[in-house]
Amino acid sequence: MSIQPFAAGSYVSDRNTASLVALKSRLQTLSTQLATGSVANTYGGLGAGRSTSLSARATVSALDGYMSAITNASTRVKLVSASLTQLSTLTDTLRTGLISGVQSSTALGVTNTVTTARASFDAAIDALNQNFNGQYLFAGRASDTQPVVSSALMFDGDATVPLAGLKALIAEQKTADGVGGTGRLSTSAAGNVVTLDEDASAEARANFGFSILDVTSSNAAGISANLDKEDVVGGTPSFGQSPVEGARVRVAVILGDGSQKVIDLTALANASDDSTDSFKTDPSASVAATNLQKTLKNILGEDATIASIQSANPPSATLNFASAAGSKLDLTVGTPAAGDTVTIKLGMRDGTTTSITLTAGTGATSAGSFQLGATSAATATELNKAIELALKGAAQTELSGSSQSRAAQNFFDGSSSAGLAPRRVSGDGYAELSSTNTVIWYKGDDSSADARATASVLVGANRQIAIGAQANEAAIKATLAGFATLAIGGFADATGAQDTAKFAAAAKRAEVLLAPSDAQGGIPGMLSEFGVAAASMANAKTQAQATKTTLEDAIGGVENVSTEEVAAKLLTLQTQLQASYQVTSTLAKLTLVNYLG
Amino acid sequence: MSYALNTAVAGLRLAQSQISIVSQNVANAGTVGYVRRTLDAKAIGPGNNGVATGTIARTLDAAALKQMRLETSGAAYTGVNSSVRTSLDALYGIPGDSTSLDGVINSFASSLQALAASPSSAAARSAVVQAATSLASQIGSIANGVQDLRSAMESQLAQDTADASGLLASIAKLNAKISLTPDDTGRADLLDQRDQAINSLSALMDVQTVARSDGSLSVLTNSGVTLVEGGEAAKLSFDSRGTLSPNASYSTHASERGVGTITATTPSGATIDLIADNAIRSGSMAAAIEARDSILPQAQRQLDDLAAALASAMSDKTVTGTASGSGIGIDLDGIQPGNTLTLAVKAPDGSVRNITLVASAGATTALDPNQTNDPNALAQTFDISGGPSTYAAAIQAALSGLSGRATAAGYPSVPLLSATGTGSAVTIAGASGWAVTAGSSEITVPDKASTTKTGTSEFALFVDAGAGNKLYTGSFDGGSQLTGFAQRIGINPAIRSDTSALVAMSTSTASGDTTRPQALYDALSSTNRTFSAASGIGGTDAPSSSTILGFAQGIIANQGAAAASAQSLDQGQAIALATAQSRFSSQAGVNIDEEMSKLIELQTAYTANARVLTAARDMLDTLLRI
Repeated sequence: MSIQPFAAGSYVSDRNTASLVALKSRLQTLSTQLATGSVANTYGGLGAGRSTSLSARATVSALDGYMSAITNASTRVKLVSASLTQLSTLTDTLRTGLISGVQSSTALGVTNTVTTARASFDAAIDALNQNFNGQYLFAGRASDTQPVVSSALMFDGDATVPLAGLKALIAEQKTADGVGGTGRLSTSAAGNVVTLDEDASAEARANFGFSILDVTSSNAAGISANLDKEDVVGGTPSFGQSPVEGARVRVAVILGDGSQKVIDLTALANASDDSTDSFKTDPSASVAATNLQKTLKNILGEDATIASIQSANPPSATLNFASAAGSKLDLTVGTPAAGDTVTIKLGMRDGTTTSITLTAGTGATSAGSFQLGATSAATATELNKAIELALKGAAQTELSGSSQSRAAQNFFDGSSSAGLAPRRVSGDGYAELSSTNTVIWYKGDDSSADARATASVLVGANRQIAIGAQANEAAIKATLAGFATLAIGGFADATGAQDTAKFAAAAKRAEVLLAPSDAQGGIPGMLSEFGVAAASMANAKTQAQATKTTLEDAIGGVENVSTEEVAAKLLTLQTQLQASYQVTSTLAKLTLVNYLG
Repeated sequence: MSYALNTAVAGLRLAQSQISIVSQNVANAGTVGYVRRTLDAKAIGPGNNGVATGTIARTLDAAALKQMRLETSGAAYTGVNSSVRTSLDALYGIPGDSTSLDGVINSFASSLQALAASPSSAAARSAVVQAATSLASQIGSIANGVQDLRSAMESQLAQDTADASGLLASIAKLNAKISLTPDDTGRADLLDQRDQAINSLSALMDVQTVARSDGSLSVLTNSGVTLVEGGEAAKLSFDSRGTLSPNASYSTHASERGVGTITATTPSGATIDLIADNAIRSGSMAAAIEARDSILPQAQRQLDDLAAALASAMSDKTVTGTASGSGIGIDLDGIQPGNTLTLAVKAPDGSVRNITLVASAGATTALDPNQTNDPNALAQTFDISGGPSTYAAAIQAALSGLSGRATAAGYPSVPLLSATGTGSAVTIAGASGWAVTAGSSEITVPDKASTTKTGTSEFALFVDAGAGNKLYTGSFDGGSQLTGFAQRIGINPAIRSDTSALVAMSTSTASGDTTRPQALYDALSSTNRTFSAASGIGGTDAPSSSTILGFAQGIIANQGAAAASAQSLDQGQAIALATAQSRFSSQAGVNIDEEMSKLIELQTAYTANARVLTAARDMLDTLLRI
């Protein structure tokens, strides 16, 4: 812009013209405002409210972001809830059938239940592989990976790789437990004394077979029982190499009821002293092993009895068992009368117990009775035979069921993280080096301590709602193990007929697995967590919407014109302009020139 | 009797002359620069028995003329200023429009929110790349607009200088003519032309005039540089540089100057740099100089700061030193040229001053603190080319260099600091009452732009696309990387070709991991950063602290407010000019009504004189008939 030279003589009329032009341009500005509805088309023209408009726009944009994230996440949460509801329904249906016990009483019922369990298992896998918008909902952070493999692969493994499936694991477990024999107990008769011994290997006693818990003799004078009970002894862990940051170690500890609990720990350099999911690693492997025991003590409240340990190589965790004698039961046979009974209570490694009762009688020795002999020694021989038969019977039913459910749980504990494959039987215990030839059923992410935290939605500047889910959460794992225990079958006896007792033993354990545990809340607990998340999101969305409306009003106040106001201004201006034109034109005529004669 | 005759004839002659002046006035009523003229009667002869034609006078109010010139300069200044500010304001876009600066930056933030909500979605990742690209290109195009405006100022200055030089030459010529013209009418025309030339000149630059006894006028700048003296004028020349780049700036040293300057060459051959001399303080040229050298470079700096913040916030980590005694210990592992180490140093008298040390691949040199965030800091580079083992020695060398400069410049208190340490961990401590109270360093995490899997959330989303997609570190090696970064910012091609890097911090990062997207969003919307004082947001004296979003809003609001205030200033000045012009016109302007009434009066006078003549003739006739 430059200043134009001006003629002093015509200044007044020029100035008048300039005023009229300015008035006209205001008219145009107003009609533009009316047409666009905006105060100005630059931030300069917005006036002092421009900062309000700028910051409100940024906030509205952020709120839009939160709301679209919530919309997206709501669908996700609904789908997760639907899958969990499906799982819950399947569980309830199967469990109701098992509790009623109707199905397990007949061979046909057993077959039906196995088929139902398999169908439920497949349906559960389908539900867990739910996909939304290309994201697998139960895969944690690895949302582009289908989290659960097919049931066929899980059960049968893959012979081409080869990978062992659940069937192979169950077979191994049964062999190790001595299901085909006497459950790792040995009986012998010497003179008038029948001796029942636990396995000589401390490691085997900690992991497999029966343990002798108690004995009662109805007639102590006839048969006197002497149980030399020894507690189960755990091993001492050590590392081949000091675990690096993030290394995972799987430990099975024996709880007070004799059952095993699997605990997965992570080695961290900055683990706190009271941590319950990690232990402090250390350059010295032995210090790290001590730290591992400290963490176990934090969890259990007492020194842990470690039954097995598993890790990758490195850190090559090993467990050393000191040799110790197992429990030993001596039955000294005097002259028992017919009808006298001896009851031996046996424990299994899932915390369940069973009892065998042997009754003295005159009939031939069978699994439940022994024939009184002519001498104490002869009776002892018969008693020994009867105990062996009874043990074999219990091994085929109760121990078999226990093996099957433990193998299934073991299988579903497996994860793709290094060191956390399913435990495999090796010798008298479980292999210490994590298996690489076992099917890993869960392919998703398991690096996070909290499955919910694997996906979160930001619903406000400082407010996150966790909506992640993993198929390997404890509640789902237990449910799947429950289904699999039954679905995999194997209840037929040697003749091919379904063994209802064998099935009942497995069904009893499956039912426990399917029941929602009080501590974790089970699947209903997960469902309620997602319900709360959905409600929080809906709440946050309402709030965001309200804030947005308020801010948009504020923006409107700064950026938009009021049509009425502009129209009123326009009318005033129009009148003003008309009057100005009129007066200007009249005044222009009023010059002396016009009156000169 | 002959007296009467002669007087009547003289009266007729006077009336004729006056009518000719009236006709000249009426004819020139609309002529630019014409000043109303009057012709007075002059009584002559003993007993006032005669009348003679007086001199032609220009009805001019000298004070009004002077004020009008002052206001003309002012109005030209505010006019150019307002038009530049308005154009600049328009560059940031239409309020609420998705293509405006705040619109694109908000879209970028939204895309990051969407990515944080579904990190494994390829569509969300592409949307981030898309939004980042349009943000980078929008910043670039605004910055180009800023430089276009600067180039326009440069060419306007060239034009204005040529005009001013021409006006000075014509004023000198008119001076010469005026002193040689005795004729009243001719002289008045020349005076009108000269006044008009000076009026035009004052729209370009502010000048003052001094009348000389020979009728010539000397023209001086307000700083006292004589531009016209008598018939001689200084020549003004402008060495235009055509299209300006962000690096082109004014300097009093000709070798460092990247823009044109106005040189006055006096008749004696001396040359004066009028910009260095601060000779031009008002008028359109002053406004153009201010826009070119201060308003627009500041707008460029704001955009450069915004671009640099976007790049650094996503690639840099902040390492804070731990205090121990009179010093701090800090680990500079991974520091790259351009990364800064800022130390708060407390003097024995309790005053606190910042020291900014910038890593460099070359020997330690002084740095203009205006290039860093804090203009009041002491700034120096330190050499990291020798690797971590030399960091302590290099910092010591930089601190010594700094103290040396401070001593040379005569600072009342010179910091006494020493750096020790082995490897990248350095301890910087004060002595004799000096203490380092805090220290922090911004360290760029990726070693090069293509390294996206850094293992942490930091990576280079934006790179220096104008310099071969180099990593942005703010390096001063080979010129400031910051200057003009707004034009060069672009999205990392490594991200464009593999969008999964927006989520993947390492090869083992799960696709659903929200750590990196969340960190990106936080870096943009909730982490406060320090922005340079030179950008002028929140005052020009101290660095400001805000989020990137807040800073972008600050830029727009700041320029919007500046445009609005420039416009209102211009409107005010236009009114002042109108008032001055009106005051001047009331004297110098031709009023037709007034001229017409005068005409009637003159007609009457003429008739009266003619009547006297007739009467005298009749009387003579009567006498002759006797």
